[in-house]
Amino acid sequence: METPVRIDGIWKSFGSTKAVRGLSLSVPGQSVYGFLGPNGAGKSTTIRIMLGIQRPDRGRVFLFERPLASDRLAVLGRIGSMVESPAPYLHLTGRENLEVHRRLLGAPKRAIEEALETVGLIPAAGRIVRNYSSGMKQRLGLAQALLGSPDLLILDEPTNGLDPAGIHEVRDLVRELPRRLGMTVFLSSHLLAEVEQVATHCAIISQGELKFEGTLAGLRGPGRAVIVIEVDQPERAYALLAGIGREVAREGDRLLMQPNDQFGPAQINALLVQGGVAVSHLETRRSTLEDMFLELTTADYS
Amino acid sequence: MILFRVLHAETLKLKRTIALKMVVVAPLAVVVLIIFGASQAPFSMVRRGDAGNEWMGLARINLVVWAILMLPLLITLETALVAGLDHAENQWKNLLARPVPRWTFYVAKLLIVTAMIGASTAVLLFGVLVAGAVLPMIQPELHFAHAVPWTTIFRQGTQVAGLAFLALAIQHWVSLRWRAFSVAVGTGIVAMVASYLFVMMSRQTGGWLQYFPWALPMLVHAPNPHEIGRLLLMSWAAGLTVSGAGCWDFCGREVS
Repeated sequence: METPVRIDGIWKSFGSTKAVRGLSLSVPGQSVYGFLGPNGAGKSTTIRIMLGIQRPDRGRVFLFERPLASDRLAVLGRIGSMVESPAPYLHLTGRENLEVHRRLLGAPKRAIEEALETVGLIPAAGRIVRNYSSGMKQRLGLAQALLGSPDLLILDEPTNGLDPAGIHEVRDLVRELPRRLGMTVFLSSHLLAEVEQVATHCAIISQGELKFEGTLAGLRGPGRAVIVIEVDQPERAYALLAGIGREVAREGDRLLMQPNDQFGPAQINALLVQGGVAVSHLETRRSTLEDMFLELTTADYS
Repeated sequence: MILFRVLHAETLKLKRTIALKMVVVAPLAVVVLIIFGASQAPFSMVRRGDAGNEWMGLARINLVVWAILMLPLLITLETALVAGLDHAENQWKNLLARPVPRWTFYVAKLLIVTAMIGASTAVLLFGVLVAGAVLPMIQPELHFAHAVPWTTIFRQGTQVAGLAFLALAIQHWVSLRWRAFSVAVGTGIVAMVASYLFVMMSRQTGGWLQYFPWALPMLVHAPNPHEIGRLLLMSWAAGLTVSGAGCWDFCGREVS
């Protein structure tokens, strides 16, 4: 299966600000690829570079295994995109907006009705877009991106401005597209929960640098665990645990330490009780996806 | 034919826009004003010179007001409005991500604005004929005794529109280059005021100031009408050069 997107070490600066720093990505075919990062991490700049509306200072972009720099028109014909907020012509109807893009693509007329049906906008298609709600504009943006059934759909923050029901619909749609239409979806977001619910693969960037790329299961990994201990005599418990050579941290009255194969919760409990310390709470806490995301992205900003 | 596809899309974008309405409103405003003026002062507006041919007098006053006042404003407005359709909401990020060469957007918009200015001038000429039919009814002192000089009126109208191409090409570049509507409109207004000044100065001293791009359409009724062919060539050659440079600039720019 061909690789829809491969990015090799792209750099992009705006004046003295380095927006993207040596970023490399590889998006598998028919995946929903979450592109995660905090606001200002370089996601939209990367997407603009992928679409050829901005040029990288260094590095190369390959779409469908063809270089974007030399085969721009050929590969863009296989891509639908919605960059940041949707940008419809407010004085035209929803259907006329799609017609503008249909003419540019040279797609058949039926493509408009198909796109409208996919996003559930047929009842409002004849209305002037100025009177649309932000959720309807977002759907129109999606319909515009879906026009002509592209092989790769690039969506930049597609649920911005949507109400909970709208967010749910967009998630369902994004999840369905690879199965129903064989599309690959590249979904940029700063919301971990959004990506977590739909993506099969993800990349995390922070300050223009790649921090992680792989499957969601890979991001979760075995998960680092920490044992949280609450006792009646924290000072004595600290001395007992430190006395056996283990690293112990204090968090208020609680003690934190990492388990290993030889020394888990049962051994800790036995040691403390034998040492005359009453244990009121003992818990093994595993780091969540959110913890991993924050760990990967907040270090740069601290 | 990609350019045709882009042109087709551009025409749809004009639906319900002020830009499209102005094609008719601007020339009609001139015609109505001239009808009002001629009904009040027929001898100073229509029967002055032109060997007593009222048709020529009426066409002349319409084309002079058109060339000096309305056409530069209309060019400024139309180029800014047509470019503004895609500057608004930053449509460029969608359009330039389509499998369409960038130059086609620049050329299609230039063709659209040129056609709109041509259509507007045609509406003005049609308005001259209507005014010639209406004026004798409201001003009995005016008699349009001669046959309508179709060829001369059409030729002079075409020349005025043709000489405006250089100013149009410059305004088109400015309008697409800067997103702010005020930059395009400000450029047009300053250029229009400068053109009045340069024309007045050149009437005293002659020289190159009369060839200021926005002043060129005023030269249709200049004392040396035999120069019109050369001026038209100059306007179109310079206009196409400016368009080539503008298109090159447009193709190389990044969308933020």
